Amino acid sequence: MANPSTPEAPELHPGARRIIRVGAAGKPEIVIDHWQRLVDGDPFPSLNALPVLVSLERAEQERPALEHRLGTWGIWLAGDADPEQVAARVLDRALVAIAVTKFTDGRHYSLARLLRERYGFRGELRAFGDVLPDQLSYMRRCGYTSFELARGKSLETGLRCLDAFSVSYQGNTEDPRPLYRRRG
Amino acid sequence: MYRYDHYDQVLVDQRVAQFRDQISRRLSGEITEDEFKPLRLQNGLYMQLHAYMLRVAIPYGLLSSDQLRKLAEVSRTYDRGYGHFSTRQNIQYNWPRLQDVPDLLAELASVQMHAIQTSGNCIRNTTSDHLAGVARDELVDPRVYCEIIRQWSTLHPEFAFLPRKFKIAVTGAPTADRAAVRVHDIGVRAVPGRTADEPHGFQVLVGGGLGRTPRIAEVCREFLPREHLLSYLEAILRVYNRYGRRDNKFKARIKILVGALGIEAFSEQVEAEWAQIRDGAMQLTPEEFDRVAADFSDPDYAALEPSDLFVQSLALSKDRALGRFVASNVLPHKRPGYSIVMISLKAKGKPPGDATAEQMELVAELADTYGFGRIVVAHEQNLVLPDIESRHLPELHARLSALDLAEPNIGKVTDIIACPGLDYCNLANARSIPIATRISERIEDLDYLHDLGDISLNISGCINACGHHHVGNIGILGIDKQGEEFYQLMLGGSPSDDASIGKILGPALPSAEIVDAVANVLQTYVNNRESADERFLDYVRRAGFEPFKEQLYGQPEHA
Amino acid sequence: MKLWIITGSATESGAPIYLQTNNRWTHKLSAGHPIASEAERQSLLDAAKAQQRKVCDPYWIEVRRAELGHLAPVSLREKIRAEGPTISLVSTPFSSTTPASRPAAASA
Repeated sequence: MANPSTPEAPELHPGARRIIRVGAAGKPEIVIDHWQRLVDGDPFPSLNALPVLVSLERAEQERPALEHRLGTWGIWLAGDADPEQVAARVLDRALVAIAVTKFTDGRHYSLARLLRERYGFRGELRAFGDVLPDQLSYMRRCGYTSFELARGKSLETGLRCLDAFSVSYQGNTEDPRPLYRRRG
Repeated sequence: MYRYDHYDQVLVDQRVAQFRDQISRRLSGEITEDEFKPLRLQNGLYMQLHAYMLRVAIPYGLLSSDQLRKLAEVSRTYDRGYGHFSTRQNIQYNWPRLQDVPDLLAELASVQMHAIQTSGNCIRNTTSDHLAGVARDELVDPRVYCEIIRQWSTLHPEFAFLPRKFKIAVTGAPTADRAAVRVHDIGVRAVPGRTADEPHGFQVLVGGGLGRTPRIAEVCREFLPREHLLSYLEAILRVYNRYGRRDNKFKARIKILVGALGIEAFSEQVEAEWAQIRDGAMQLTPEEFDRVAADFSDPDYAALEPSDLFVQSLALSKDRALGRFVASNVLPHKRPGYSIVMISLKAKGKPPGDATAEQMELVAELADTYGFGRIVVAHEQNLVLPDIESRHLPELHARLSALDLAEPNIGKVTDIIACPGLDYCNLANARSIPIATRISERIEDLDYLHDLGDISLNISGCINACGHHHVGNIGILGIDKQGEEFYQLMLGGSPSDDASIGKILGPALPSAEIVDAVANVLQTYVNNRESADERFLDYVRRAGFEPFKEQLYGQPEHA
Repeated sequence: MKLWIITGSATESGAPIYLQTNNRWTHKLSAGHPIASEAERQSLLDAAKAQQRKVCDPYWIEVRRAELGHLAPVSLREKIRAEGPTISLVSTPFSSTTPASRPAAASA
């Protein structure tokens, strides 16, 4: 059993945190993340090189200011955002994060899949909010590639949960073929 | 029946390991009960009044004799030596301990069984016709499609947290719905191709259900080519996942969404979504149809002479116990010389749907001796031996009688569907089982029982309607009135091709009066029917409620 | 005067358990700690909720003094919960299972 409370890594700056990210070889790992997620109205961080995540509305209103910063910027979306409305406006971002307000609200799974499969989003897709270890494998198969766990949740348990299954009946965003097209 | 290959087995084994890990985190305190609840529910584990309850999936009700023996063994090792067969063709254990559940599930995995998605707000066990594969009126074997749906829905990553639970039923008999498809979230009906050379396809119904807001499903698509079955289901689920209500759990089922949008607008949304995915990788392949269908091919039936006349003569036998049993519990088989035998789990005075380990083991043995080792669970909470050589019927009847499994009441008013009610259930408002046992004890004259003909009587202990009271010809709903158990009486429901929702007859009655009231309703029918050929349901539909009301509530001294 | 007991389901077995003093739990309702004030009821419920590793979904129930001063639940639900199913189980190999006597209504 993993220790339920994960010791915090020494922080490089306020707001840096440990998350799980699927690495280049498709292997999830625990990494230090520097993205600063801003609620509308929060000032930009004084450290100009830090990348920021802003809401879609703010990104569109304050685009010149965002472009002016040294750090790059990404967009966070509500879990119930309408992919038809938002997809074209986020496609060019390196990072899109989706807010999971309550883990039992499964709308964000459809949003994630559609962003990937229908609209072709290629950047990093992150879940944050009420993100619990036991849902990570579903999220990953819907196209998420990084996970900021809910406060107090063990990243090590998260990694173990991501490893729970080696087979699935359904296709996923990387390989759409269901098992019946892969069996043999 | 379907046999797991390497992939199926690995997935079920890994699910056991995952649940073992989840349970150990709950016991260690790493996760709270609130976090654990959805995890345990998605693996069929409830918290009831006295203990945990584990609901084990029996996909479309089909069991091998080895599986049934394992269910019996598990009930002895980890429970109290019995199990409860539910209205969704599953089995429930009422007394497991949390730390034993992983071992119990590992035992089940060794015979290709699991508890995946038997609860929770996800796609549940797909149910079907208990006569699938052996009925004379079947167009196609629905189990092939049920298994394909089972695999698609198992651990589906997008649909694990739907607004509410989701139930799919499939029937392969276009003129004899025994799977109650019109009261499911999605009902799939096999229908013939539109032209002579087109293979069969499906009519897809959506938005049916019981519970607080009973509703009959409507047609979402008249004809769906079979290779598109999964992409169409996926389109419906995606529309539901995105737009179903999440603000109020009592309005979260898909029937509410279908009702709010209207079936036309709902079906347009589904069609628009489907158009985007229908020609993608989800299209079912001929190889997959063949692979799954091969597992459902007929067993090695012997070439026998037709036995219909022989069975009829048994029904008239001087041995009245045998005669009654054959008349009510034996159904015609598609192959000459064979019969379908229904085993009633509604013996007089016993909880509907309960079976002891000894009974399960006997049924498994009889399936091996007289059939091809197959058993089916019917949604009416009975068991079926689908392939019995008719010449063995007298012997089989004698063997069943020895363990109280030969109650001759299939389809009769004492073949009662009942939920566990307040004797076990955390949600119930009133008890169901004692009402069922009292009714079965009251109507003990078997000649009278058979004279009443086919009548369904369904009892639920609360508005969630697990006992399907809305679709019983007679429905009983338990309610709590200032701490006292009262029961509402409903008439006129049906789950079949002529599906209808029953209506309340009059004021609710206290527990002490409800059995008399049922007897009164039955006698009113007997006194007024046109002939013995007029079924109870037909009489209710023809005569309305007045004769019943007059007899039941009209007299000052009705008790 | 109203009386209450804090109850919940044991995490390991799911069995009903009742709060005694000193954060201890018992399987016997009659051995539970009777609470006479709403303030004490709330503080004990809070204490019970803090033991979530041991007990699931604690809540309070109303009880009364029955014959010989024994505590008994007021509601039918809690009576069944405390005493077991009111029906005879189809199989009862466990001697600890003693189905409660059938209620008056059932003998009508």
